[in-house]
Amino acid sequence: MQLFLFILRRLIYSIIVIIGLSLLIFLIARIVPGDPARMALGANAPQWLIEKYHEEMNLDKPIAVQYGLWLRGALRGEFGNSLYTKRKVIEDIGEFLPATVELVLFSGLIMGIGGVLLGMLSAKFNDSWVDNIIRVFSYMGVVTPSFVFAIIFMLIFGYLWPILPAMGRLSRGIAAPEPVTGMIVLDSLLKGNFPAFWNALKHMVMPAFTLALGGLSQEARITRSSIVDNISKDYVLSHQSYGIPGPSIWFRFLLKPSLIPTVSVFGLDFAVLFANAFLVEMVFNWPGLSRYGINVMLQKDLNAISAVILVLGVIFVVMNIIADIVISALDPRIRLGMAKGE
Amino acid sequence: MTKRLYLSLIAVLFMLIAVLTPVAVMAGKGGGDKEQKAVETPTAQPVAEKLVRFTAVWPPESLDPCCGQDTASSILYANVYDSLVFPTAEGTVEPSLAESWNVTPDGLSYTFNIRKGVKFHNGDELNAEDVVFSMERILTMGEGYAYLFEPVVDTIVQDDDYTVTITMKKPFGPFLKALVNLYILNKDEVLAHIESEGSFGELGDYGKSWLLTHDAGSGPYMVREMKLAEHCIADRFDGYWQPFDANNPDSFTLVGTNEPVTVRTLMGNRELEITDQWQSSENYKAMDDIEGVDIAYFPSGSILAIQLHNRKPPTDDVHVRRALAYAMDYGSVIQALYPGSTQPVGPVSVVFHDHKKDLHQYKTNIDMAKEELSKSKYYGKLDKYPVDVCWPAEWVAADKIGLLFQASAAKIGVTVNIAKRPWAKMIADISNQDTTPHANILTVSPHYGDAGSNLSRYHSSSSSTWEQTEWLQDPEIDAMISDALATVDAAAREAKYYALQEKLDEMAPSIWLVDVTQRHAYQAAYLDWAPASTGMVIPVQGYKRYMRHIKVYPDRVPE
Repeated sequence: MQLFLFILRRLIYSIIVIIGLSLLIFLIARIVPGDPARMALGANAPQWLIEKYHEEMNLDKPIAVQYGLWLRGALRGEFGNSLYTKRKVIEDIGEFLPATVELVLFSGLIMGIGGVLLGMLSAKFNDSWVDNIIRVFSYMGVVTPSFVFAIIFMLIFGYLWPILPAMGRLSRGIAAPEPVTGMIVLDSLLKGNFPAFWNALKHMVMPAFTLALGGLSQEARITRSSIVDNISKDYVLSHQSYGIPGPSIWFRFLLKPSLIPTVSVFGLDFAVLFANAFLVEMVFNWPGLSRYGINVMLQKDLNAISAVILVLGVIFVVMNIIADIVISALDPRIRLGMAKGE
Repeated sequence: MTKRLYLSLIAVLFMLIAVLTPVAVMAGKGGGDKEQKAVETPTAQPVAEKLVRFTAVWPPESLDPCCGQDTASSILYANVYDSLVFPTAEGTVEPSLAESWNVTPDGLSYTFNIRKGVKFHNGDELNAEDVVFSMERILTMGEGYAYLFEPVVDTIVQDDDYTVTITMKKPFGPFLKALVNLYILNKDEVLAHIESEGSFGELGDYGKSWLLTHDAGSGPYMVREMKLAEHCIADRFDGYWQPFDANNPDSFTLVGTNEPVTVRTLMGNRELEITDQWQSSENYKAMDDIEGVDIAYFPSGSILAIQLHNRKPPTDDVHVRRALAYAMDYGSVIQALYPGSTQPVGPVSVVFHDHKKDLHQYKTNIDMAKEELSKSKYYGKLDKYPVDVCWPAEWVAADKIGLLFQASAAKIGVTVNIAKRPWAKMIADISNQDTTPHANILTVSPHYGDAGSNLSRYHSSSSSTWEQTEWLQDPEIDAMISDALATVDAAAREAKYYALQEKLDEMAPSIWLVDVTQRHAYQAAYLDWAPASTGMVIPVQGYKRYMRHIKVYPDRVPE
């Protein structure tokens, strides 16, 4: 019940946040100077055509009316047409979002599992050469922008030792599976299309690792320091004095509280992957929503910009709620706080 | 506790499903194109068949030849559709779908005899009705290349199954050259795919949605797969009315990317045959070092210029403009950014045969610059009139040009303030005479293969767009441009172009910096790319990558 109320409260807050976000992005997208119709149609487009586009996009109406019309459409999943692809924005999102979701899920998996494992390893061998190597690696991972990793991976595994494909989601000649989720790796598994699965997986490796490395390093550092902090606490010492075996202490008593900061940061990092994905998608020519978002921003494609930011905003909010729930499951103090409505 | 943990995990799972279900539903709907199943990219494919894969800075926008005018779309139109006439490297046109034509002496009526036996990709025969439909459609829609026809074409009528007559509102000398951009659609196929919801009355959306990803053409290649914002794959059309060379590509793939590392990697792996023209000099050099890869240089017809505001002090004074033109360091711009390009001689590119070769050229000469400046009404008080120079912030390379302009102007005592802006902001600023900066660094490309295209941007009708930030607003120039463009006789038109070039050169409305040469890295070892190997370059957008002018030899691929 406490958990239900907590989720309900967070959902209500989230709806308020998303409405606020929608207003903000709507206004910002329109305050930015430049006529989107002129940009899309070219310098020589006749004035009557520009005006026709203004009318179709409701740009000839007062800003409050524009927002009302946009919000009404958005609630029905209609964001209007894109000036960039010249089709409905919702169709663009339906096509490009699964590619980004797939990439981010794989990156998240690598980031979460890899980060926790490296953090545990580093804490286990605290101040040893293993710890030092992992810490140096983690610092490098945190400070290096993902596009640098992209270039390095591309040059090594795409060019010098070409074992991985350099771009896209599938090789030419490999038939894609019938779309179920739009995520090719998953769809090819669901359809039992193993050549496509293997090919899509190979395409996934470089972009997913590139995207994951920054977060992975962050998670490793946080997990390590959290475990190192907790390992000297009284409850661990008392468990040791009862003669409970080391692995049990680690996995039953130490890891759970130590993962709270990791999960908290992971939730944010996972959502940030969507934003960071654009550079990786550009370099690896990954046809995802983040790359689409950058292209529509460059073309001041108002409908598409608003929709992309709104979708990313919703994902961010949902990820935060998920992180909160997981943390509450891990930490009884937070559950207690929930009960008190704190 | 365990129960709560399970409940929480179930809640997490539920929320993940809540997020992913709409995605799955949308994807299940096919993401807009229900028939499009295959997702292919040109990676990791050995060059076994005769493939040509090339990149473009933007992905193709649409297969509708009445919509797009960008480079990628133009390449597709040239290969997938036919037009009435075909452009030549000499800057003229030759028969294509039109076997022959007659023009009345006043230039107000064109009668075209349409070739018989031409098949569309779906097997339908092309006839005059399709030509009429295509012209009417582009005029009605007003998009893409419509601006070439809308001001001049009055009516188009079908005389019989294989004859059409176009009546003009006014004579337009380069009309035949402009017709290269009128691509003929299969009327029946387009009408069969109209969606009722649209802004064209009973014609619904006029087939726009369907043509985004499908072709209705008769050109040498037919589209197999078009992924918007990604790539397009097309195969040789065996029913084409002209013969293919045995080594013409079986298929081609256009990929929308210009990421330097990606492009270089693909070239090194022989997964890409021709690059886009927007790579850095360093990347071209790196690719040139790959065995079997060469760099091709083509004149593009585009002129990179610093457009000077002719109605704002101090650049409203011709002597200030000339002084800045003399002060500019052209050599450094070309050396640093456009190796292989040349300094323009006047406003028209050398690629056009009616370019006036013996025109006076503003070469770097500080003494001449100072002399011109001394004749200016602003001489001695230029410190009160700083010059703002602007360029699109997204165009990083232009930073060097802006700084060179600043340094060059400083040599003659003119203060230049850097004011680069995002493209969207720049467009907003230059739409108004008062907010247009003094100097704007921009490249303007020709719309058709004729000097008139380079010159017509100086007409007042182009003011307020990025094609003319000079705000020339000169009635004499307007009259000269209108008169030249209305002249049907090629020799007479050329003479008028010459006069116009002289006049503009004297006025120095812009600093013509670079007659832009495009650079492409290409697989010279196994690709015979006619424009590169013979130097016969068709000066029309899209035709440098016309696949019938390319031959592929897979057996020559270097190990």
